[in-house]
Amino acid sequence: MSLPDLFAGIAVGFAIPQVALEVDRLALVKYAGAADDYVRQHWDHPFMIALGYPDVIGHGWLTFAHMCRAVTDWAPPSRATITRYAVRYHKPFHPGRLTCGGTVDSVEHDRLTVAVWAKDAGGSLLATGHVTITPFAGSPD
Amino acid sequence: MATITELQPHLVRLRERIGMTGPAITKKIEAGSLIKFARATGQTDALYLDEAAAARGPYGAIIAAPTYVSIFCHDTLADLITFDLPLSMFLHTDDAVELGPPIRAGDTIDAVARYADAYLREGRNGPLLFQIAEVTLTNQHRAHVATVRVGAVSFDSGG
Repeated sequence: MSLPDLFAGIAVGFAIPQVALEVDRLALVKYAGAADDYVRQHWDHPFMIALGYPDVIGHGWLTFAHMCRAVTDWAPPSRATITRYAVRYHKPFHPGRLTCGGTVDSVEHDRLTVAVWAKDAGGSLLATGHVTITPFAGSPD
Repeated sequence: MATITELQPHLVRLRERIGMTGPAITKKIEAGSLIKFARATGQTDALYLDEAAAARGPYGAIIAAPTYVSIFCHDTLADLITFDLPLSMFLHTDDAVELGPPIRAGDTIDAVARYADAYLREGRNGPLLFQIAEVTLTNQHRAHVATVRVGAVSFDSGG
């Protein structure tokens, strides 16, 4: 299946549907358990206050997981495969509203790249990245 | 607050690690682990969450959500990247990942990390010490599953 068949009419500049959710401290605890990531910044409120932060900080990988989810909600794994991604975290995320989205920034013969972003409740840019997908080519075995 | 000059010996010690690899770890991937991760990251697709539906799907089993590869970082990097520095805080700065075939329930994944780089920069509020490492994942078929490049920065929070 070629990419045009899969994403007919998708051109550079196309904005994928956004994902918006509340990420509270419970969500961070659930993620910590699921990811085996118990770094103190994500759960120890007094520790973070003592360091001058207003609250605990969300896991960067959790923010990015939701950025990827904006892509996989639009191009689910039965139709497309993520082959590459990269993310840069610009600002710590404190529990609250998280909105993720993206814009198609390249369409090639066999792949498509989405420039993805995440913002907090105040609209501050938390992270930006790129996710590259190819049409699903079947199971490897 | 530590100065760039005071941090130089620490940087020298860290840069001696460049190219070093940590101990390999092996994880047998259970469907429950993949489902728990998918739920915690808000996924709704049946291939990530529903064993029966996924068994009938293109991979024949539950597959890992795209960022599941991150769960290998903590254990593999524990002996390589160090935050035992005269800086009060560290944060995750960036990731870059190349993915092979998705991890499936029932896979056995080997993971090994390599220390890639360390460098100092003067930030607006003091020195920033960056460390970078790369984790390579392979499956039971010796197929490349992922290369995960992770960056972190240590600094003084001033708190």
